[in-house]
Amino acid sequence: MAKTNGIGALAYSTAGRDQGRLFLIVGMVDDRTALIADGRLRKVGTPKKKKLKHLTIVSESSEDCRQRLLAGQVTDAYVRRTLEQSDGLSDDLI
Amino acid sequence: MVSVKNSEQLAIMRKAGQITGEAILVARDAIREGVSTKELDTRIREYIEKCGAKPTFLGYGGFPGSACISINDEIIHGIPRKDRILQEGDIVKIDVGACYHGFNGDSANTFGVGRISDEAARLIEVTRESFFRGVSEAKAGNRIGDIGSAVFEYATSFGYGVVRKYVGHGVGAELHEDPEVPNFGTRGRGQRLFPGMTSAIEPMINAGTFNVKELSDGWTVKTADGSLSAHYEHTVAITDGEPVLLTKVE
Repeated sequence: MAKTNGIGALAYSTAGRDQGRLFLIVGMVDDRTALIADGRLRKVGTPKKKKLKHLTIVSESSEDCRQRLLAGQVTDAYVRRTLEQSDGLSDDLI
Repeated sequence: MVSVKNSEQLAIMRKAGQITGEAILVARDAIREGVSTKELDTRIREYIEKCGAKPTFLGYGGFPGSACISINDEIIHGIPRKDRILQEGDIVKIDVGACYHGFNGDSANTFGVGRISDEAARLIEVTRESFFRGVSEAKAGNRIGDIGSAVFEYATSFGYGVVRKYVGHGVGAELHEDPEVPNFGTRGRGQRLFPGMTSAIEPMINAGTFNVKELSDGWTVKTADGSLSAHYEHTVAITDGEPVLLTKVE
């Protein structure tokens, strides 16, 4: 039974008012619900709870990012930088 | 947290793996046109219980079956149902977990019902081969990214889509342990592999794009474009030498 790809992955929202926007998964509530942030409207301190079925994961969890998240060392600036570096990533795949 | 198993624990996991692998063969032998996925599930459950183990998936997160049985464009987590009948030409993915003395085995394979199209046969073969490309990198000292990139490079060279939303995982006392084992990644990146680590390496390969959609039953995952999908999985133990496939039945 496969595990849902989790913390540290980049994902596009596919439903809701934030549809089409790129987010970083900063936490998991359970196997089906993620906590997402973009460092702008959704800050690391107040992430959005979002069902995984409403996200399309477009990038792997980077180990550096994952370790930082687990250690609670991720800032909004880090999230913004991570998202900017991946800007345009798989845009044609949404 | 990544857990490393000692030789005693690995011996139990080997037994759990054997039961898992054999349960898949029991289901394989029962596959034919007209059989329901529920019937396959029942045979799997009975075999696992006969061996003194427990079906790990039954009740896991509320899953109602002992095995995930997914057909054609269903990728994973298909719920066994009485009214889901196998047809000639279908490809069936059977994913089984067995818990023996507190440790789990997790394995999956894709089989054809009767005569299948050349396209489907090729997809199954590429998925299987991509698994072995990944396993060849599962050596102590390598990293998780080495496994994922080997799977990804091989499968995408055929123009196939590699599922990203679901990934392999560590296996042990829990079905899902760290680290995650994606079927994509960058060589030399990710968690380093140590002897005694046990992971489920499981390429899920789509004939079309990698995009997926979840059905309203809360479990079944399908390809977004309706293309065929194949799945191949073993629980693998990392050793000082070659990796050991704990769920492979000789």
